[in-house]
Amino acid sequence: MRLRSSFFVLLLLLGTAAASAQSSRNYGTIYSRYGLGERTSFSSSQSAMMGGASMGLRSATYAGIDNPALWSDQALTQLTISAHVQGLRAEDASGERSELTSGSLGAIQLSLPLVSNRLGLTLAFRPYTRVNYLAVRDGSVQDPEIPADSIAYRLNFEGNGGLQQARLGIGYRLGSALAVGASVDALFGTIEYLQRTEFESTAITETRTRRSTSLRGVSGTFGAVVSATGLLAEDDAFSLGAALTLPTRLSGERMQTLGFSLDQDTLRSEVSGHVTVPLQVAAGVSYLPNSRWALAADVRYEPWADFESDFAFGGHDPGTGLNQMRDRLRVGGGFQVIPAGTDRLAPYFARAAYRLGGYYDRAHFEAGTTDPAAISTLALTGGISLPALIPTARFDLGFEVGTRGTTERGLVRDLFIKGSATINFGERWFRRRQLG
Amino acid sequence: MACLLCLAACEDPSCVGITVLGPGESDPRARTIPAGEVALVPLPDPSGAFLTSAGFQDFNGLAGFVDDPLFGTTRAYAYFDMLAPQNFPPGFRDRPIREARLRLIKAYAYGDTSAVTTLDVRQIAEDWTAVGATADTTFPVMDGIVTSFEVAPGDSLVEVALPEAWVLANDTTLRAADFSNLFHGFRLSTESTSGAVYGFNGRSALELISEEDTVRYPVSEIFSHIEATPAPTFLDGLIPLRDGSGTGVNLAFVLDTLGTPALNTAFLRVTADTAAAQADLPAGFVRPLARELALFGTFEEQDPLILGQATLDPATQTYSFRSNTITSVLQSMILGREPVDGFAVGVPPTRSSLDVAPLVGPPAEGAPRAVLILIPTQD
Repeated sequence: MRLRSSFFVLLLLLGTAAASAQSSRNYGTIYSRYGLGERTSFSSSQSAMMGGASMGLRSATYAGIDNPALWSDQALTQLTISAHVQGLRAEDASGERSELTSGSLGAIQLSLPLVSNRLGLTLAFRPYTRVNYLAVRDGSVQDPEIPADSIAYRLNFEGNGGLQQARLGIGYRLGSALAVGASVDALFGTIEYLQRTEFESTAITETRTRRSTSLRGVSGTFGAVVSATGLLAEDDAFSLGAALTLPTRLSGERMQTLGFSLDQDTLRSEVSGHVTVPLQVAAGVSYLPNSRWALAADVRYEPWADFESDFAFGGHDPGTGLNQMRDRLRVGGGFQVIPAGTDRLAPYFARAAYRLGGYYDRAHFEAGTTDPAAISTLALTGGISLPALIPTARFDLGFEVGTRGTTERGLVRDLFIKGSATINFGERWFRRRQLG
Repeated sequence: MACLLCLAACEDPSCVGITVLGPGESDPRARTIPAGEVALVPLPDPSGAFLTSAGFQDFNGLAGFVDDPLFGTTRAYAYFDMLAPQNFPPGFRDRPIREARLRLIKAYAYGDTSAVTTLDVRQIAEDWTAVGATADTTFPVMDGIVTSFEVAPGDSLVEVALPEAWVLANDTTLRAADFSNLFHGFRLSTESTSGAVYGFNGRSALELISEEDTVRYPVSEIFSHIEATPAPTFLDGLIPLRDGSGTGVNLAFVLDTLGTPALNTAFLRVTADTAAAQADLPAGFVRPLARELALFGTFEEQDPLILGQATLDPATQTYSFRSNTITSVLQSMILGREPVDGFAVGVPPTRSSLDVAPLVGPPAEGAPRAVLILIPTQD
């Protein structure tokens, strides 16, 4: 019970810190301006270090959020909290650079084995998209009656917010070969575009115009995993998993406000509308040749060209017909090695898990105004999973290094490095009492 | 984990990435909006001040008559009340007053200063207050003239000896402990139909002389009653704005065509034709120009509110009003609200004068206009 109390205190502390990091002003890629923001993908800390491959990656420790069928493999109540920090350098064709850092929540997940290794329930919360850009432009405006007296200003274009996803569902193992799962997914959040105009003259007050769009909707995900053993070796295991998330129709309101410094005034009354997020389909495989090695690969497809919105977002404006949304394709894979395998008496670092992977992600938009270009991300992932004092807990430290975009056509290339920290905490909650 | 989460966001914002967002549709731009309606309208003209008012010592009581060929005729009556000082020489109140005189500090002139102007001194009959009183107010005076005096050109100090009979009749009152309740001051006026209007400021005093001492009772309250009759015609294309006339220049702007931009700042400008105002002046005729104007927000059912003041720019002959209050008012109007019913330009009631500001009227260049620095907002 004391362990459980400590567990909840730790959960509260980490959740508060994570929320604080999420809400503080921090900036990332300029490409988060497009659509509903930068698409984020986190299924588990294990899969994140292996190029994001998660669809067929079965584990008793990690219940990947992406495929509900994987939730059937739970024997312990698992709590996962993950947080990320990112450093980003953006560079344009002239060699100008900007450096930005940000922190965010990766996910919070609670998995319960309703029937050990057969029926599991999972509640998860994670970012779905992220809008966190900052760009500035300096200029001057002339008073028409005093042309020699130019008024210098700086425009700050900022984007904040994004959509969050809450997922609740079950995974059920029908037999040794097949597991299925389903979840109800809630998407919600607020996306803000802010323009701050600062003037060199202190006599002119800074103005802020803000477009804020709040969205919410419900969808569902269905998943399945097919497994086989002894294919190439006696102790090997092969899994093929797939998941389908239905298109989501979001309801929302847009408000535009104007402010001087901290005062805000409504510029336009609230406008209601809808946004349709396209379906998502993903499939992946994993192969565990023995207790030490694991390999996995995934492919994901999201037809964002079918994106519909009553509101204007970056790259999409129903009023003018602008549509720079494109289908998203993500391919990733990686491997894991635990030198000690299942030997719990082995030295500490032999019991750690070492992971490496990579992914390619063709973004769901084309960027640029005059000659839009496809934007791709190529990244290397990796990390280490450390055993904790409690045998059922692990502490994962991961990294991701990659590049996104191009300096051609007036665009920028991002070079980013991410660090992540995840606590995976397992405990047996439901024990049948034995009498006599 | 905690260290990672606590990493403060730091940013090095630059122009990198701005081209990804698109062209400069959101940059501030300047728009000039001419005033749609420009007309002289009644504007309350408070012309009094109390001792504790800001700038009281430079506040003028106006007395005299001027016939200005450009702006018309004006007759002014100056009211002054005095206050006994807090400290007296020992025994002053026990000794009779032998002499009394008015020490008037002349600080302003408007009209024909080459001629001698005769002003009559009358005693004010009852208690009065200058605070809030407008220039069309009068206060009752006692029958009879206490004395008369002439104001010569060039005099800055005018000393008016009060008649011995008057001193004798008011000796007890002048030395009384409740002098302020018993004595209500003097009014200066003229019956003449020529000459000038002079201003005597708050440094003036009533000087009482006894056998051993001289004590000054400083002016504590000043008010000017003004009767102005405008000239039948005025210079073409110009608006005859003048202090003390009880009028201001009403400005109305049509802002509907702007949409709903964000207003960064606004300049409301009016231009004066100062050369025209000083042209063809008769010899010795002084017609002071208003160096400062005030912009008022006007209301149907309450007194106007000063939104800002502007000083004349000699190079451009323009008064340019700009303040955060003006910007906020205009921003509210752009958003469809009515924080004020309108705008009016007048001479600020800080000094009391007859200063002129012949403003350029529409459609000439220099007519009243608003220059707005604004940012269009997108849907």
